[in-house]
Amino acid sequence: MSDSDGSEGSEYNLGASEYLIYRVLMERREQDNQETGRTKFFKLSCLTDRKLIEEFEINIGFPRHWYKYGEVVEEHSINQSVIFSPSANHQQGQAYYPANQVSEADFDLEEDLKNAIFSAANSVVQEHGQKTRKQLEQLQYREYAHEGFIEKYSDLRWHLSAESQAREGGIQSLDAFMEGPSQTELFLDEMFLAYPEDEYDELYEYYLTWDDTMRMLVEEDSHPGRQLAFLEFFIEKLSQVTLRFKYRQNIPEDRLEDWRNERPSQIQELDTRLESVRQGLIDERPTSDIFYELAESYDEVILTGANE
Amino acid sequence: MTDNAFLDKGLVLGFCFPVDLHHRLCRQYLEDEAREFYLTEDIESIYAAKKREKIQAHRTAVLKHVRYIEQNYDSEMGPMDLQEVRRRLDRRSNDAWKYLKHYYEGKQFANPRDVVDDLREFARGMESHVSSRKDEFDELVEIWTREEDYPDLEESLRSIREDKEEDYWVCVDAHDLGERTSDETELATTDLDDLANGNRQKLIIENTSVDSVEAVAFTGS
Repeated sequence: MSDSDGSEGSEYNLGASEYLIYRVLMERREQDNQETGRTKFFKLSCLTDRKLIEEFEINIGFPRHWYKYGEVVEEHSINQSVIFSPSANHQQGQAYYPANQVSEADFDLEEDLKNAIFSAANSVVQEHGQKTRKQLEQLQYREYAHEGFIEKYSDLRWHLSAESQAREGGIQSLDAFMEGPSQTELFLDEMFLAYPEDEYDELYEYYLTWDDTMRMLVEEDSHPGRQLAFLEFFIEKLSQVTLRFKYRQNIPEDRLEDWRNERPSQIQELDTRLESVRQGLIDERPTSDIFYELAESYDEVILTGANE
Repeated sequence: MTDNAFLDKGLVLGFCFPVDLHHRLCRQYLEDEAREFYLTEDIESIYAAKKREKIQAHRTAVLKHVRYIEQNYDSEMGPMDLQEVRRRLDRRSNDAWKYLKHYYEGKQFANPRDVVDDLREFARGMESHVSSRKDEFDELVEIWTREEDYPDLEESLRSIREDKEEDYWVCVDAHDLGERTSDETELATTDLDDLANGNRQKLIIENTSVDSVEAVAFTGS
């Protein structure tokens, strides 16, 4: 029987999405003896699905969405029995392999569909399979980032990651040689202009606070690793609250419902951490002169509602 | 002479938020060394929530304006530009327009970079001002923990309770302070229209162990 949505079929209940994953992992196994980490597995699978849609004009309903630094596979919506994922030996997290108990015969799909998936997976793995995780992430956000803002924050992330390594290695950072605003500040400026407030309206005000707080971290020359963590924290919340809803394909309704239910607590976490990091930085600073210069009109405003 | 004073939320807000005017009155009141000043954890929580709400609202208003400047000006702003910015602020309904307009007063030219830096510093200054004032305030007061609910007060202070539940509990807290300490107890409030109006004052003094109600407020008239 033919089945393209994975709802029925062989004893493992395997459909086209499972076959795509299986083929990507098989191709990777045949390509070299290197481990395939989670990020690489996600990126190669999403690229294969894109190729199927764009070049083969076949849409198999593969579940994927944007998350932090690129597209990921929505694993909960896929039958995991095609994957074998022990802890990785050479990197953090898991390594992904095709499951040994599954074979080609378990995928009861039309021959044409199977051939298309086979050939898309083969071509994607040939082209990108040996790229590093970083190269794959860069490829994805340069080619497929939905908003300039995503591209900008990814640039800042790479920059801070390099700065952080330089600082750890005792090397003077690039920023130390810059006249005027640092590279980090320039990236922050680009992000500031690019934030799509109508599209990502739910976190807009949090973003403004994040941005200003991040600038304080930069001004006090905090460790770039701390700045990087603060950036990643914001991007994670933005992904959970906004990005994965905006940029997604074939996410089942029950999964979306879970995401919706998680939203309030994710926003709460964002709020709490932003305020606490900011308070810590504020407490270290004297009150600025400019504040006292405008105190008279500030008082007029702040007193309204003081007794509410 | 009164020895103990129970503070309502207006005193902590009035001490910490405004730079001058109202702050000065609250400070004067709190600097009377012959007294002990008390407030409850409840008032602390009300303060914390209010602070968060106010700070976030003002910070956001300032930062949105900062973004507007960043998005629209990349070279020196002349008289026409500044006039346009002021006009825009006039049309704004958010609270920050007053001090932002004050900021632009008298300026003929401005470098947008400086404007952005100044206004970011303003937003941060607003927050550090409140924080340092709160630290000072905490040095002057003690936390009071009420041990009983005094259900008898429910009837006698019914009108206060029906009007504003929060005020009722302030009276109960102040009553508890009066009951459990030997000296005179004053309830200090900035709430001229409610707790400190003539009828309410009388009601409180007659029915609780509060001996006096003091209005610490800048009336402006």
